[in-house]
Amino acid sequence: MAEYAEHGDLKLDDSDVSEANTSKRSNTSMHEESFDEKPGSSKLKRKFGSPSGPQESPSKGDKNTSISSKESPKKDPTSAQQATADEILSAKRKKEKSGRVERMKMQRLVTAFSEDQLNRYEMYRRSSFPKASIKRLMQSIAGCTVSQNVVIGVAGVSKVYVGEIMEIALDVMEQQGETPPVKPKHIREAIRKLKARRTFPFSKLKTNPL
Amino acid sequence: MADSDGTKQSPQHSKSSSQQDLDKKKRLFFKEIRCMMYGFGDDTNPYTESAELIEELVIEFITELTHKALQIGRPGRVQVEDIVYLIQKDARKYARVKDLLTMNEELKKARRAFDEAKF
Repeated sequence: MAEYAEHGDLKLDDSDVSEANTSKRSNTSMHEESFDEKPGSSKLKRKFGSPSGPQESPSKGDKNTSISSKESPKKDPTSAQQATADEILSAKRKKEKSGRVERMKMQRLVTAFSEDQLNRYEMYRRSSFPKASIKRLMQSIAGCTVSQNVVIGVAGVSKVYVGEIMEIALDVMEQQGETPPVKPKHIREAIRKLKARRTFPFSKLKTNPL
Repeated sequence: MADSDGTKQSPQHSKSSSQQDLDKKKRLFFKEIRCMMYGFGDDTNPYTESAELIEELVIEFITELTHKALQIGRPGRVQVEDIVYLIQKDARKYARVKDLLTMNEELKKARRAFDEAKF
């Protein structure tokens, strides 16, 4: 953690923080109660725990029954089914455990942040596109109403999109050896690199006319 | 950038009409994009031009997404499945959409259970 204090540069895409960030993007870690987006939902999260929380108690209960059933001789024909059920349960438990480990890691990390880093992290978690504007934009384009889930999905994807642009733009900027506020030329270079990736959606659009 | 001195005069010959329209139009996501840029690692005060460029990119992205979604699946409607289908190649975005939607479902369930439990 001393690295971050003396580095002064708050790029959150260094070493293990970037790992944490990418893992954050792939598992939604709603355990960070202090940085929840809506105050109402934070109470619910505390009450019901993280997404895998409510599943923990039933799985533990099943664990007991599954062990006892496994130890008993194979009397019933459904023992094979129970074996696969056990596999599924153990896989689920492993996932939960790794999820828990992830969360603990994140918590330890966040407690070690300096104030600047905390600010930036808060901005990272809390910033989002206003759903009303996105809905308005999409409805004006589509000409039909869009459901709430679509708006939620598109807002989230757009934020990831901005994140990808920013990450690459910051790398480009560093390669060119320049200082923080990112300039449009870095952003354009970032876009060029993104579009060259085959996984980028709509990469077929701006094909050069050969 | 052209935006810096556009306030005083209206040089119709130097700017294209779309650029003029953009100047007159209010920026949709002004503050949010700046917060996001800071959160993702930019300076405390990101450049206005960079923020405007990113906003244009995002609007273009959403526009393309919407247009494509209109064509696939049920034509003329934008549904969640269309979005998921279009995004599936990009692993990061796909994972994010899945997470957001499952989270939303869980929250809805939790709220319903909570409301029922109130009695």
